[in-house]
Amino acid sequence: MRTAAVASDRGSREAAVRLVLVSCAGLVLLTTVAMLAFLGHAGLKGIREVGLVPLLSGILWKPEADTYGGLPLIFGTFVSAGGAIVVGAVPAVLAALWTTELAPRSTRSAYRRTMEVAAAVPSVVYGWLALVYLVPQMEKVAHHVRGQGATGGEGLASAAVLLGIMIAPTVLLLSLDSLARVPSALRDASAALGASPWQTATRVILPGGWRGIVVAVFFGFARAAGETMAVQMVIGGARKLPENAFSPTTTISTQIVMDMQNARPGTPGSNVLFAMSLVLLVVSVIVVLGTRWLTRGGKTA
Amino acid sequence: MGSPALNQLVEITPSPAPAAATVKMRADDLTVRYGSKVAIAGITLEVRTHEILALIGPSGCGKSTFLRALNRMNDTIEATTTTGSIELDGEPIYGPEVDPVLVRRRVGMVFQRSNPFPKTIFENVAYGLRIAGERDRSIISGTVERALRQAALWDEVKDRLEESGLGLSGGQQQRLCIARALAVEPEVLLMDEPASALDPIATAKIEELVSELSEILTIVIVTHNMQQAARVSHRTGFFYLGRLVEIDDTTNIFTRPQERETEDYITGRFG
Amino acid sequence: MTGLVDARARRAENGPLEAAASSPRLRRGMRSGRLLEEVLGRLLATIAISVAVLYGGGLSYLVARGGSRLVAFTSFATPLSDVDGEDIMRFVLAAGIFAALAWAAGIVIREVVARVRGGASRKADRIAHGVTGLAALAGALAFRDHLPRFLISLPSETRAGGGIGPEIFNTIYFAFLSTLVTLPVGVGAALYMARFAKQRRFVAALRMALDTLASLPSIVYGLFGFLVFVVEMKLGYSLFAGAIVLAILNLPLMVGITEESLRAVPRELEEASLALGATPVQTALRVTVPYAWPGILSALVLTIGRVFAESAPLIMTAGTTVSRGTAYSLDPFRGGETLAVHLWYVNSAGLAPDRADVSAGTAAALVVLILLTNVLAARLARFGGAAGTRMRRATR
Repeated sequence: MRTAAVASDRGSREAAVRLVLVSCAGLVLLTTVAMLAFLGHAGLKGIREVGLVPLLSGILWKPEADTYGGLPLIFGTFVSAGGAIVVGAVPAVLAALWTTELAPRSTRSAYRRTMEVAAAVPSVVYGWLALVYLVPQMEKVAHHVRGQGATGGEGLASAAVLLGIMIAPTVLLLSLDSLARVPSALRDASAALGASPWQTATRVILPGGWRGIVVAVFFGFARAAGETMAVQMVIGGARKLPENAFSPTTTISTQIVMDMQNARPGTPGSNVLFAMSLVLLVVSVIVVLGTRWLTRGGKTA
Repeated sequence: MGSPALNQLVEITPSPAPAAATVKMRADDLTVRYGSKVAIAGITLEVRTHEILALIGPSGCGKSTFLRALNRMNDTIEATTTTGSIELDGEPIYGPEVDPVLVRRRVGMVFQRSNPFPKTIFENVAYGLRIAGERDRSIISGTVERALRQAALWDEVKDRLEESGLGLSGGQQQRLCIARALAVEPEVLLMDEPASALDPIATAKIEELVSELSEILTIVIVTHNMQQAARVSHRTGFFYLGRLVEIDDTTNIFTRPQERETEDYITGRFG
Repeated sequence: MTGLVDARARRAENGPLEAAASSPRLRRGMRSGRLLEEVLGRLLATIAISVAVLYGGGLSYLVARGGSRLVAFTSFATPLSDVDGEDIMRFVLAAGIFAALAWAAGIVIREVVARVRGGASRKADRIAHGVTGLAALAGALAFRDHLPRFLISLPSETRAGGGIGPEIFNTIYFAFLSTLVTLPVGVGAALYMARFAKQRRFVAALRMALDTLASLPSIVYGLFGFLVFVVEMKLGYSLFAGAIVLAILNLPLMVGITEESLRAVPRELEEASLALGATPVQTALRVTVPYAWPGILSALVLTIGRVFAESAPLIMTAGTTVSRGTAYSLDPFRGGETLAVHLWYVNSAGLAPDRADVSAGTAAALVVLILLTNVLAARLARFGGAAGTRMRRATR
């Protein structure tokens, strides 16, 4: 009798704990679904109010006049993120290759630590540094390239460089991981066949780690495209397409954070911002799916 | 010294060692340290042209370290210091102006665990040629076939050269690695327990292969399997605690060892 | 064996080469393509080293430039203003600073003791902990009124001399509030996934959800929080909304690392517990979770690092202001800005003449906090193994 009672008591507690655990997992799922639903709902409202084509192709963004042409925002987002890949991701991948394959071993862990800290530094700190040190330099460059009196400084180029600096440590660390995962037995095999470190790096290590590097660059792009405050500090905030690489312009996230403070909730001015955020959502979904696709086929070469 | 155990070991008499015993490689007072730990100390031995030299000893005795010193693979391990000298055809391979990459092109290596690249069978074997700068397709495909034939793998893979090398069985993978090493025509082939991860049938094939290969190159093989050493090698060196205890013709080592430690080891008293 | 014969024939053709054996054949100059490789290698090295110098130098400069404001202890006692909770805040801040200093010193002491005695000892650990606690208490009592003014005064939008006292408080408070959600939900979900999940489709959906959450830009979290808490629930800008949003933002990181640590628990340990008659739940709670605890803590520390660093979602849910009356209030339904938000706000809307110095100080404080969390996470992760991958996931 008593053991049965103990057992059933234990059984019910067991069930209760399991229930709590499942609800935690369920909560995660529910939150995600709720988030997508809320954003989708408000976003679709915005799309209906403005129209998908004008929203994506209009070149004038003027909430005061109820004009919502999102092209400058989208253009600014993708071009600055693309620039960041060129400025930041390319050197990061090369540096990762050097660190794992060619650098003296003793420097490796110090290199990694530095980059771990750099990757964790808040983006606003990078934004502020860029505002103080990068923007004046960029202005000089703009004057040099486009002549005195040209607008420069705060603009697309500064944003791209800032984003590049911001994502480089992350891309570098993810690439390092990917390259380090290539089995060292393959390094030995290649070296024993008379391959130089450089040949081993380009013919064995890179082919073995390229998927991870692509994933790293994907993540870098997504982070650059989604970055908000740092970009807002240096891009100039002009709500139009840039005339040249140095012109001030804007990005989706910048515009969301700036306009949301003035837009009355429920109005088209607010809903359209949610619609623009769906563009960012699409970017991250593409990144997630791309990553999954790349890592799934990763075993067979 | 004629204990029954010793005689039993020498069931297969190896082919006689090459008559003209010219020296291919010579290690002189070689010491290798990993950090402050001494892995091998004061090793002096000669590797003769076209011989099969087996290195035996309990695990951790330094035989693999010595093997890796012969083609400077130890350079790839952190904090390794090597003193003393090794000569290849009379030229020191640890000299200041020496490029280890060139050493490894002449002294190839096959590892304990087969490690084919995640490439096709063809590309695995062609790899060494490509890195050596060979571009001529007919030379490459001819050499790939030759190397695969030498490794006794050609008949098994000739119809699937474009499949991944990782799809082969364990024994086939190891022979693929041997073919890959042979393709660059090394003068010396170092084998680090090449059959320790294989089943007896695959092991027998590898051993047969080793015997045949000594006609075209010099082989140094590390093994912890004494029967294997007795079956395939001309001479055998016994390593213990980082020292070379004894080196002699294989028959002598297994029937009339000069040192007490050697005898204890091959009769199974330790190891 | 035609192959062998072929090879011998080829070898014979190569005769002249062998004949030339006496001349050096291993010299560096003998290999073609070596020069090009050397040039390319140098190029890569230059790139990699400049990258390291850029970040290492930049961060050091940042700390050096703003750091003086963080350590400028005053010889006079700063009088308390009429802000509620300021005295407690000062005490806690002083204790925190001295605990951090003592902790760092403790690590050094422990290393020294371990070196001298040979091997780490429990006693050395206890001495180090004791010294840390005492130093924190003594420092707090002695210096709470002499703390650097920058760290304890209120910010100013228009005049020089503004500080970051409330911002430091809010930053820490945010970390605390979001942890209240992140820790239980994260560990619960991870434990479910690592040990109790049965339905494959549910787990697959869960993983997809976590992946999606992980890749969403933080501004999207901000929009969500704004819509749900600020607008629909009519809470206005509040720490509560911000903390919930940060907790959601941190869930993928928390669940990911925790699950990894739970899976790293040796199966034998759990089997031993099961064999003694423990139920799976008892085993999970008494064996698995305690064993994985260092890993879970290091995950938590990393999520706290993200709380320190985030700005956009907080601007949209908790606002950009600090009001004098509630600067140090524990009420979670008031608004308030963190250090990161302050750094942005000062530069985009601030009019204070010394905003460059205020920014430098704020940025330095942020970087020091991030450094601390990084070091702490790395030390914790070392106990739990797989430190590298953890750090990596955090930096996404």
